[in-house]
Amino acid sequence: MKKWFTVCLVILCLVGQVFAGGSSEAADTGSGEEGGGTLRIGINTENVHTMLSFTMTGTSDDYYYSWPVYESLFKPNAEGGVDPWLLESYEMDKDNLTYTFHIRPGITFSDGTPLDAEAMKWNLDHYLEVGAKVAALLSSIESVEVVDDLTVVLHLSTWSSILPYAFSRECGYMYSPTFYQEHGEEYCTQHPCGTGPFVMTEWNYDVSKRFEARDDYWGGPVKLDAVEYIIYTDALVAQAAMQSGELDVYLAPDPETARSMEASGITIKACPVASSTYMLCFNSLNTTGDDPTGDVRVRKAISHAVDWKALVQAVWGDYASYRNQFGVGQHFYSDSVIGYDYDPELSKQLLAEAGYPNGFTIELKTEDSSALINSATIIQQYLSEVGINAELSVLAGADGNAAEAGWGKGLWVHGSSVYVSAPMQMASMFRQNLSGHVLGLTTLLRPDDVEAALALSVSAATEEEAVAAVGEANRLLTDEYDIITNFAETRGLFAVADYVKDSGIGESFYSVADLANAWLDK
Amino acid sequence: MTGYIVKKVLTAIGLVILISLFTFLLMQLLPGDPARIALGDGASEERIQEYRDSYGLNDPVLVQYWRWITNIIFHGDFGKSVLNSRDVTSYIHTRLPNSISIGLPGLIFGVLVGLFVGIVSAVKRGGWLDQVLTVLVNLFLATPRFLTAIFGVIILALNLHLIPLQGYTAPWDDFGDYVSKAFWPVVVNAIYTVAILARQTRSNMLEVISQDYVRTARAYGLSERKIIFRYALKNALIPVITIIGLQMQNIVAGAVIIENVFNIPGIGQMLLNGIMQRDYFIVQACVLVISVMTVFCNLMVDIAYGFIDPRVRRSMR
Repeated sequence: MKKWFTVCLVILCLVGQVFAGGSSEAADTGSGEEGGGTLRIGINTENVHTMLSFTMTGTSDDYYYSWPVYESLFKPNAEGGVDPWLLESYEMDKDNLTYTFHIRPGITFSDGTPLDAEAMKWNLDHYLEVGAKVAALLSSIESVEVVDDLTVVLHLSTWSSILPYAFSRECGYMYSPTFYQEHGEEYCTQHPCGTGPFVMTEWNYDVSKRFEARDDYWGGPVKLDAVEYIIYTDALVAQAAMQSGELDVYLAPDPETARSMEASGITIKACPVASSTYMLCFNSLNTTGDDPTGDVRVRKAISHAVDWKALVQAVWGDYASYRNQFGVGQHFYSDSVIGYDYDPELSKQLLAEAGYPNGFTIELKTEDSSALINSATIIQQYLSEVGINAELSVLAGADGNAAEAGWGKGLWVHGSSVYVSAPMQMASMFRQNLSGHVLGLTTLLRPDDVEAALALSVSAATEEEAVAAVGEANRLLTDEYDIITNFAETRGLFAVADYVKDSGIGESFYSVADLANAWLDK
Repeated sequence: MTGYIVKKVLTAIGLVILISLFTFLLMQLLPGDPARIALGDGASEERIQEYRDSYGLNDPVLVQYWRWITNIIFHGDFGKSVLNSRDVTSYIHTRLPNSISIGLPGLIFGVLVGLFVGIVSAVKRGGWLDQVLTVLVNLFLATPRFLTAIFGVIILALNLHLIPLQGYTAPWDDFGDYVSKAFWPVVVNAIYTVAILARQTRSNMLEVISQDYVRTARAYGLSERKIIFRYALKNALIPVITIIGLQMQNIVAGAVIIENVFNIPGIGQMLLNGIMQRDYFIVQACVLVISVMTVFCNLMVDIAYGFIDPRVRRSMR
């Protein structure tokens, strides 16, 4: 037996040595400060169906895959604001309802054509025609006017203070009009032609994307030769790849994977600007009239039944912080929002007042992500202590996506990305008369006073006015009506090998990186 | 025999049509709108309806089904991906060979090792080797494939650096790289086949070698090797063909987990992503390909039985 075992082991080792290729692949991606090499980025899903800027939908994966090829008019910074990027400067004129954009000179697309005022107008007009976020973010734009080669004026119908934030996301990406006209839309959805430092050379659907450095990048020489995105559907395999050096970066690990990676010596970078907020949403609209969550006392009872701070610590540890209101960061944070302390006795009292002294059974739904499932499971446990039997359903993929717009009865545990500006996000989620795929379109109450506060936050003349309006909207959403109970704000997490330098990944906001200056210190 | 084959072929065609119809209806019943996924959360209802119209998704389900199935039968056209407009037919053409390049070696490896282990176990019945192999076979049967896959990644790739962690290169592009990357996925794919075949072969062999004709052969003084390979194995393998036929469908159908863990661009990965994203034409095409292969394998087994087993031939008359 020993002989057999030894023979098998030796054969296995020999076969492995003969065919081994994994470690050598990782080694030949190395470079030095002088540049070169391929940055290998792991990501857990494809989830991107178009790389044509104005047909993108603004998912986090859209941004990750856009790092090498697109730049926007504005760029989110590490302080939670935005700075001009493709723009050299801009002016706002609230009285005349105009924004004037001055384009940075010398910018070219990867096909060599210049980014001028005509190209920008072409992009903005296209986005206004078919863009996914027009209704939510850009509905105030009436027309786009070319003033000279590098100046564009936006004429608005009503004042909107959120436009610089909107143009710091995919709405502000620029695509070469010449390339589009030469190749047509279908081709362009698979071949991005932006102003970024790389050009996509290979898209192996569901497997990988490869981007090679431009030698005519307007921002100067690009240090890396190439960037490759590789899909790792299994987080354990991704962790092993980071440990072995097959991967240099792994995007957006969930909290459990991040903890495990950190424990194995991999550096986890958390963006300074938070990017997601987590909340419990109630069927407060209660169109059928028989859902306990139609009663605000029940909603408040549920919110008091859970120790939210303990939940946040259990699910995210140090990767998140407790937050009692919608939004991220301090800029729009309001002290006037009280939120819900853990008080099971008060919870039981409120339930009794609402006519449910012995509790009830309720549906608790969420999407298929470890943070959401863990949160929902903990909420379920807390609710059982006050007599509420929450039946948990986890909806995967498109099921979850569909339920987000209306989950029927009961509770929905939701994670929402917040793109820097709270008013911008809240305007697309909680206002009246929204259409399309909006959170709780058929289940969330949308009172008039919330609508008024959110309208004011968007049209505010000053930043102070906008902050105050957001604070009031949050107070109404949380304390007054308890339409949503926020409990966490999380920051974008990235596993980045120590030898990856100056990449900008995880250093400001999750949607941007600085791959033009990245290099590998191997 | 011809009548038997014709009957089996017609049944197989009917079965494939039923499966395709069932899959088509099932996809329509599931919640989630591919147009909404493709256009994003903020897309207007007008844009959504335009998009659905362009793919014929607003037509009655049976009309959609008829258009889809006739396009496949008469034009070999599986349609376009609802999410990214890619041609599903060329997608299948690219992905199917990748799945086969992992599944087929897995099947061959599994059958050879499984038969060998089963025969050795039966011949050495009750001995230490039989006991060890039986424990191993039960372990292989009980261990989920993804666990075996992850185990290999951690031990062989991460700790011993013997194989790459994941990825795929087609054998016709770079054979050495293919062997290196496909080694563990093929082994994982083969393990279940090894286990189930070994168990079946062992029990069949034990039954056969206790038969009178084997005892008679021994009484004639024939060598044990000749008795096993010339007389016993031939009869013991007849039921095993059924098992091999069933395992053949795993060439593609069994690839879902393996392809996702190892990031292999095959049919299994395509199917799983299609389901998650409600990409109707992708899912329907994958299910159709898998069901055609499954039905074809079963048909081959049925026909092979007709040739191999005289009792089946007799029952057909």
